[in-house]
Order: sequence, then structure tokens, then C-alpha cells
Amino acid sequence: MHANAKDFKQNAHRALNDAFLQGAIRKATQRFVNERTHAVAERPDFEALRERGRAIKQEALDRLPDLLQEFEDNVISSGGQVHWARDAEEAQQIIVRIARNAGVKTIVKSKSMTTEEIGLNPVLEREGFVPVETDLGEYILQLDDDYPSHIIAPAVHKTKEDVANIFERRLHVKNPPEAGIPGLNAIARKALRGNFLKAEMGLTGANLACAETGTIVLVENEGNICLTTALPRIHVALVGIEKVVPRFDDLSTMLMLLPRSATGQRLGSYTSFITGIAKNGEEGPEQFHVVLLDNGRSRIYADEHLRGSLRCIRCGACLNACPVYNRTGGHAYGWVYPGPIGAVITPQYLGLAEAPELPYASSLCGACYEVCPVKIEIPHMLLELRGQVAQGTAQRAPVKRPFLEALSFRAFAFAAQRPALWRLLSGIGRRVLRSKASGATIPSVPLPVLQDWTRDRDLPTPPADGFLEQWRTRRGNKGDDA
Amino acid sequence: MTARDLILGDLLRDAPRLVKPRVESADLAALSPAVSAFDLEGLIERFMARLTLVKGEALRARNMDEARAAVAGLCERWGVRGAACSTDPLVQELGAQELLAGRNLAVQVLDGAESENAWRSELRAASQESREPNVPWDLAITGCAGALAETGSVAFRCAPGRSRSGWLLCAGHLVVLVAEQIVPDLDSLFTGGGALDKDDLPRAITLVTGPSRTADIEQTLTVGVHGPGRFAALVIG
Repeated sequence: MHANAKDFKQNAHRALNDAFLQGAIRKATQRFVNERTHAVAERPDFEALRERGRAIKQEALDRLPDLLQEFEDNVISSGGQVHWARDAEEAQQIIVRIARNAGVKTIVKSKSMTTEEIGLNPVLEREGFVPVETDLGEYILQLDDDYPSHIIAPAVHKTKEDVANIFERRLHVKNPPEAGIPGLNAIARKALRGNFLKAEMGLTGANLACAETGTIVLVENEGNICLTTALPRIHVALVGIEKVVPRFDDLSTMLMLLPRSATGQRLGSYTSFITGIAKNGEEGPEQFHVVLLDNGRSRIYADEHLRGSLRCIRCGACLNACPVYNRTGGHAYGWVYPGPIGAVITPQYLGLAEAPELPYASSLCGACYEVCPVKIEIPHMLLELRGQVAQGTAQRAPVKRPFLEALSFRAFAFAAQRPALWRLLSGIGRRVLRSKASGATIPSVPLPVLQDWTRDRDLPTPPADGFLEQWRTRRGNKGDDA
Repeated sequence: MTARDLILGDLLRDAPRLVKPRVESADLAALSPAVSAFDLEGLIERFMARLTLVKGEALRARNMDEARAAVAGLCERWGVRGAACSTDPLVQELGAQELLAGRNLAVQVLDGAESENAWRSELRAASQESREPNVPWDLAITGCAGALAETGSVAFRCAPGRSRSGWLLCAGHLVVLVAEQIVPDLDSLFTGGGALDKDDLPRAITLVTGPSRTADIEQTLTVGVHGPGRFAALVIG
């Protein structure tokens, strides 16, 4: 997928001016937050479950090379095939090769952030295949040439009128206004049902992969993943290497955490455990391929401070909890993974130079950590990334900050270390600011930096006396501790 | 060097040198106290209540006669014209086929690959020709491999004559189960020869929790997007 993660500020401004988007995001995130709160409250042991989830995923990372080989062995022994892809291009080539060798035309796809990540659809189309997104939200986006704005609710930025127009334009079916959303739903059901029945290949991601048995787990509400994995004669699952967990029993813990954290459901409508090919007259595909995708994950793995971000199970709880995501929506983050976890992993997947503003797209309030089902220390990681942006690392040069900003910080450091100069400058600063005040606030300050800062908010009027003056007055001029 | 060797090589270089001792499930389980146990009647009640919360229909029958009456009542309420039945022993014991045929409804038993293929072919042809299929698809009647009280879910293990598409492609789905099949929570399905027995895994096991649903358009919940729009479980016993 085309990345546009460099311009978070600009993207965010566009989102802030979109009233429908603001309402839609707020409504979705609020609904998810409320339902999650309810679902969590009902399990008094939820904190212990989170700790179990963290421990399982951490163990999986610690033993990742071994577990991937164990997973591979078990997929093969249940009749499947395993392919390894270092990057998006290799994954695309592998999938194209499987499809071409099997002579397929129609490919039904379930919602998968990983296939978004490798930008698969345009490649399949170019190679003459017909990929069809079957998740309702993704289908709408595919018809409109758009991309997801929320991990769980991909088309949250579209109105029902938008959808009706898209269906009319692309499917040539008119939805009478009185039919409403159920009518739109029925149009999509009918259009997609035909595709399920004729597709030769089904393409999915995986929520979890189990090393012990070679099983992949898929969680959904619509039933499209069940059909995608049941009907076509070939099933390809694109799986990030971080999805593996050690034992089959571990799936139980992860499944108690995932839907509760994502949508506040106790379980999704359909939770499927897929192991190998169809055996002994069972329904299912004759070929089962797992494509294990690296695409930057081993690079994240190499960074000890950030490795924990690979524990992510893509539930989206941190998006819903985040005050920044709640206002900007997902598109502002400019790539597949939005929200706090996106702010951590996008700069690592794309390179920090491609997304230098994302680590700053957070107030570091910690709400993301509080809700994370596998306890990823997102605020710490954002700080680590900010450090890398400012100072660079062994692998990466520092990202060049705007001249004025760099100068400001240097000037600040210089003054803050010299008490007399600090007193002088802060005194002048307070006087200048107070001259612009109207009552308790300053609506705008016509100075560089502050001008930008006050564009969307007011600055509180500073008191006439600074901290040191007030300290001295209250202590009765007992001495200058500065 | 293959991609596999390169990826594993990268990971091995960075993996912790001293791999921590394997954390055993038992240790992890100790962190999380089990959900309080219920007696059978409590499990049934909870299962039915939770299924109702996710817009499923929960029915109860004390014996086979009551069960048959419940199936007949459901067919009437849902306006069923025909049903596809699985080969689960409980569905046969119930005599679903005879019961529906006796009410002049079309019945097809999907008893293996051949009949399943023929049934699906007709659905495919009907879809391509935009006409009504001439095989039953209003209702699927199946058994299940276990049920979960905590979530109101039932577990399906695919097997010959127990295909997932046999109920996924139907407009409604009725699951029959005996009360003893209900276990308290997800963990219990994983232990001791439950529906999720890791030593005997078929191609697919699916936990079904209510009807197919989506809220992808303006976050308005609608049912029946790809799978059955109506889902009912009939607990016998």
C-alpha cells in the first residue's frame, strides 16, 4: 500500500476539519470502549488474563526461531505447505505463483491487515486475477478504491449514502432509501455469494498461529472467513512471523483477550481453528499454503527496546482509547496500522525517516498501555522512538528537525542552565504574553512556534510573577534557593 | 541462501541467548483463577441467556417429543420451506428428516462429499442464473461437538456429512444438543477430549456465537451478512 506517513500533521488537520469523520470516529471508538469496559468487568480475572497473554506472547518472541520451525513442521505434517517471504515483493510473488500454478481466476479474500501491508490487490489484478474483498467494510473500500481507517471497522469513515452511491456506480444496483442499511447489506450478500461459490482460491490472514499443531486461528463476525476457508480448492494464509504462539492451550487465553479487547464481544460470531488440508472426505481445500511474512519484523525484533511491539494481536483497543486517534482517525497516520500501535510500528516498518512525526502523535497519557491485552509499553516505545528521531541510532542517522525547532531547543537548554538569564528572559516573556491576553487566556500569539500552537487552542495567561518570585514571596523572603 | 534461512538467521542472531525456561501452562493457569463452577442447570441457563444476548434463539426441551415440537414450531415461525440436515447422530435420533417431510417440507440430508457437492452446485447455478435454488437452503439442522456457557457458543468439528458450508449457506441454522454437551468456558473445551482436542484436529473447527453479523455501515448492527441471519440452539435434557 502507498505510504503517506510523513505528513501526520497535515493529514491530521484535514481530518480535524471533517465534521462527519469526527462524529463517526467518536461514535465507533466510544461504542468499542463502552463494550470493552463491560466485557472486561465481567471477568474479575481480566488482569491475570492480560498477564497470561503478555507472558505467552513474550515467550513466543523469546523462542521465535524455534517456534517458527515447529509451526512449519506441523503445517507440513497436516498436509500444508509453508513459504517464507522476506519482504512484500517476495510475498506477492509467492502468492501469484501459487495462483498461477493452480490456474485460478477468482480469489476471495477475507479482511487482513497483512495483505494490506504488502499491497496485494493491485498486484493480483495486474497479473490477471480477480481478487474480491469479502468483508463488507473492505468490499465497500475495494469498490471505491479506498483503504481502511480502523483495524476493526475499516469503512467507519463512509456514510450509508456513500455506500449506496458506490453500489449503484460499481454494482449497478440501486438501494431504495427505505431499504436502508439492511438493503445495502443484502446487495453485498448477493453479489459476494456468487463469488464465494465460484472462487478457486481463498486468501486470509491469521489472528494466531499455533506452533504445537500448525493450526491458524481466524476470528470474525460475518461468516466470510468461514466461506473463504471452506469452499475454494486452494487456501492461502498470509501470516506475519510474530503471530505464532507456542502451545494449543495458549489459544484459549488469547481468544479470551482478543474479542473482548477488540469489540467487547465475549467471542466473535465465528472463531475458526484451521489445520492443514481437508482429510478423509472433510470439506475444505486440497491445497493449504501458509506464507510466513517478515517484511521488517526481524528488524523490529533486533531492537530490544521495541521488540515487545511484536506482541501486538491487532485488536485495535489502543486506537479506541487514544485521544489523538479519536480526533484524527486512521487515515492521518498514513499507512496500514493507525493509532498508538501504528505510531510505534509504522516508523519501524517504513523507516523512521518515512514517518518522523508519528512518534509525536501521542500525548503519552498511557491509555493505550492500560487497555492493551498483551501489555505493550507503547508510551515507553514512543519515547524511545522520539529519542531515535532526535539523536539517531547506530543504524539510522538522526532525522533532521526543522531549523527553528532545533534552535529553540538549543536556546531553551542554554537559558535553563543559567538562572539569572532564565529569570530575565522569563520575565520579558511573561510581560509580552500578558500584553496579548484577553482575561484568563491568550487567543493568539503572533510569534513563531507560539503562533502555530495557538492556532487551534488558547494559551493560559501567565501570572505576573514567575515561580521563583512567588516562591520567594511565600517563603517570606527567607532566601533564594535558586 | 533461501528466504527461510535468511529470516531465521536474522532472528537467531537477535534472539535472547539464554532462552528463559519454558513457561508451562499450569504456571500460567495459576495466575488466572477459574470462573466459578456451575451445576448443569446453571450451565444451561447461562448458555441460553448468553446466546439470547447475541441475538440467537435459545430453546429448551426436556425430552425428544418436546424437541420435535420445538423444531416444528421454529419452522413455522421462521417460515421454513425446506431444510438441509447433517448426519449428526442427534439429528437422526430426533428424526428431523421424517418430521419435516411429514409437514410437506423439502428435506435433504447432506451425508457426504457427493450430496454436499450436488447441493452446492445447485446453489452455485442458482446464484449465477439469479434464480431461487431448487434444493432446500432456508434452514440447516445440525448437531455440534460441544457448547460454551460463558459465551453462548457451539463448536463444530468438520467431518464428512458435517460440512461448514452445509449451514453457512443457509438462511437459518438450528443446532440441536444435549444439555451435557455444555461446558463452562473456553478453557474447558481445550481440555480432556473436548471439542478442541489437539490430538485429533480436523481441517476446521468453528465456534459459532449467534447469527452472522456486521456493523460495517455506520456502525449499525445487521444480521445475515454472509452466514445465516437466524441462529437457534435447542438444548435437550
